[in-house]
Amino acid sequence: MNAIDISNLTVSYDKHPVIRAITVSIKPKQIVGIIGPNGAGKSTLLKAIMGLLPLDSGNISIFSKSINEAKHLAAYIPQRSEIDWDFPVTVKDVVMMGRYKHIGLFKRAKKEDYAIVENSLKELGMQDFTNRQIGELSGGQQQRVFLARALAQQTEILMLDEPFVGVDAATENSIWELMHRLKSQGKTIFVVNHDLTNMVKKYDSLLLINQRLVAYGKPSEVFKPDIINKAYAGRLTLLDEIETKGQV
Amino acid sequence: MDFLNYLIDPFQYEFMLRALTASLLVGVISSVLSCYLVVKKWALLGDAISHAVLPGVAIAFLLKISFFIGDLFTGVLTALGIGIVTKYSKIKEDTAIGVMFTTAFAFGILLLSLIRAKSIDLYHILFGNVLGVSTTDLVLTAVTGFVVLIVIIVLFKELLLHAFDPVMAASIGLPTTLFHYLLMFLLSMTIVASLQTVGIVLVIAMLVTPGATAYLLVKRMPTMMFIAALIGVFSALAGLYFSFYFNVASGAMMVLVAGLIFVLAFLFSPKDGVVWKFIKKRKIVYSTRVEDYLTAIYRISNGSNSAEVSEVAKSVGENESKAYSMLNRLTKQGLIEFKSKNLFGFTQKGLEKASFMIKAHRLWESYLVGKADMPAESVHELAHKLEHVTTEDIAEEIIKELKHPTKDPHGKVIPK
Repeated sequence: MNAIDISNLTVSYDKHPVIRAITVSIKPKQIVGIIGPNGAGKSTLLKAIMGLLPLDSGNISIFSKSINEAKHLAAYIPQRSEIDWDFPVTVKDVVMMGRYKHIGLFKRAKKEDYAIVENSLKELGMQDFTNRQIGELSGGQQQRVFLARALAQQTEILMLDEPFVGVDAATENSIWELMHRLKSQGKTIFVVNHDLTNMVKKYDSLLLINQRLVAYGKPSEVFKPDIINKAYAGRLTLLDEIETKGQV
Repeated sequence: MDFLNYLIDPFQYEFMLRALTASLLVGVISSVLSCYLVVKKWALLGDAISHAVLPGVAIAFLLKISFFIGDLFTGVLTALGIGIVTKYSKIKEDTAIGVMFTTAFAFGILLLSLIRAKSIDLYHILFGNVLGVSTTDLVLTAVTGFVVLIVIIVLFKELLLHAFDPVMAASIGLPTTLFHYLLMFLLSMTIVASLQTVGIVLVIAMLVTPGATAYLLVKRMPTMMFIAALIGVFSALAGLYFSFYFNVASGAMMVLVAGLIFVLAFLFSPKDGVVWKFIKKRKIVYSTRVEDYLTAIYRISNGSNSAEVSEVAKSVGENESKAYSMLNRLTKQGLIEFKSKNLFGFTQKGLEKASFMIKAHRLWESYLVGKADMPAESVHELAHKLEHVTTEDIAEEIIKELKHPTKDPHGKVIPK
């Protein structure tokens, strides 16, 4: 079974089509990098898969279920800039939000939920920071809190929107380590990656879009000058730069 | 007992008892709700809705229905209007708010000036008249409070997620649009219920200030709501007593007290009060200066344990009178003692402290040259910064790391 099947998907944002006629099927248990230039519709695609946007046309199914039935199958980790870091919530509060779906409307958290929150925090090495207000953490620690929240959601699919922006090398490594661990547990992970650095070669597969689907496949198949050029038309200098770095 | 009488006396009058109940209710409801306004940055929206209830007063009078219904109607209608303009045009929310509420407010003024009803006192509508609260008003306020608090308690975690991360809220299937309008409805209800007490113009104060104050003091939403409610209740009581004994406008007094508490929190909040930040900075500056003096004296006395004021002043780059007053402070702290007017030396305590500073400085220089590969001639400045933040433990670590060095890169002896 495919993790995600997208067929002929068109999505508009503020009345302008941002994604046009994308058709792609993605196998489970892998780390997929979503790349493309600014305004290519990377975040929109994530949000569409999450069932957050109305579709102009086409279909999305997650593990062969329509997205309306499958909403709880994907956890979303927002871009850092989308979060109000002064908000009066502690690390524990944020991770507990990952349990809200399981707890249900009007009800309160049970022992099991507290245990899962604690484990998720341990998994990210954040157990000593449970009572910190989220603004009192470093950028890397903040990113881990949201990863812990996604873990607590216990979903089959995780979606990370630009997780490597503004984090240190240590956190970058621990995000990769965690993603590999989750993959080995059978999860499928999508990562929006804006920078075209050598890091994109670490993904199991790459989804290159520029409103339309440009290419999907292994990094060695997608990360080729002619294909990248198609998506980043007229940005050859950038490409040359990557090529030179690639030699190192 | 006199003081107690002062507290109890006002409430022999029935109108004062009603005023007390109304103020306390408003204090609690609006303060709890103010926490959402603060975290959702809705202060301007709250202000808009409060002004937009004015035409409701006139319409209710014309249709001979309850003010409560009329006010709520125009308040909610304006909130919806703002939402529609924002969603279906490129106008941003703050502009939409500015346009809609002034229009609604002007319409209200126009209607009232046309009606010229004797029973409607514009002054009371704008600035409140808690002493004239009727039993019906009181019941409506109580019902409003009950509804608002129940909704907030029952939907607490959902509203928290909605306010903090609406994208995730939507992704787990919460009805975010419904929540948005639910909060606006609660806001409108609270505003209408608070009108008698503080009036249209000042109601926004009670819907922002207690929450803003609590926001400076705590780091979790439930405690923020609790503290905000306490502030609201205290302000309400204080306002009422002041208006009784000094015959001033009670609504304005309530708001002033709340504003005063905000200023106190801004200055003295243990979490991030401006005053503490200032003092902390001053302390660091001062202790750095003390340490600079001690190392200068150590270098000048060079084992002889006597130094002249003028030499020290030159070494730290301050004038002699400044150096004198600093050295006097060091004498009071028992770090140095004067031998004559110009000559002084370390006490035992001062010598220990100075040796440690020198030790830290020379250890850091050795470390930076030996381990960080920095050239010996350029490590002085960095070592000077590091010596001020060095503890005994860190010094021990460096000694271990460098295998017990005896001299620094410049060949000077590292003190024990």
